[in-house]
Amino acid sequence: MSMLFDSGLQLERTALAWRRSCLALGIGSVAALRLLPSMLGSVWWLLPGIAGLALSAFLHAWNHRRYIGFSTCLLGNSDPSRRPGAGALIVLAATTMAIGAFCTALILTDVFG
Amino acid sequence: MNDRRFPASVFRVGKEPDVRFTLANERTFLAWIRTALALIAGGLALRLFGLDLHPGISMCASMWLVGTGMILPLLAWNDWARAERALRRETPLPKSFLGILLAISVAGSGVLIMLAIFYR
Repeated sequence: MSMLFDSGLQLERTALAWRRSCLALGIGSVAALRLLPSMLGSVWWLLPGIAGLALSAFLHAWNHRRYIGFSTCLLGNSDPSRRPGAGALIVLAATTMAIGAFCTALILTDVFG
Repeated sequence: MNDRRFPASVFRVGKEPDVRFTLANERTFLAWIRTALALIAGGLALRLFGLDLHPGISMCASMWLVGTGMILPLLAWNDWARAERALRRETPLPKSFLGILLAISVAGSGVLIMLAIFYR
């Protein structure tokens, strides 16, 4: 019999929030894959979109591991210091800032004409 | 304590809170990240789609949006860390100024876009 250890479903809501975030990153990356090469005229502009998709998949996988880690803690079976840390959060924040910097460069160089 | 979680400046402070509060704090951070991505996308779209707007003012509006989207993750991380430390110390949660920043940013870019339409 499974135990209902969190009727607020905090863990599932957090996992879904991560999935939404990874999806947002993935959709932006697909848009970049579609638009950048044709607008900027070089196949090398596929690389930002590919990097974004790879990072989105990586964060999704990392989040799954964190979900398992938190789930174990909620079941009361492990030392609290073994809960997942915040590495995934800082990676996502840094990625978003990098995307902002890249878009700033695109706007300032007026590559869209 | 052999807590090797990142960042040590947060996880070596105080004692472990109810994990559900930690998860709620994390969801707040993720919401701010998605907001930042939306602002960046909006700012880029303003330049990308060649709308019939005053070029200089629409450039300012774009930069305003993208610039806000660029600093929001840093401020969200700072808020996450401060809130997590407060949870661990069992002290009141700190104030956040991200809401005011977002309101000013969106209102300001709206004004700039209206001017860009008016002066096209």
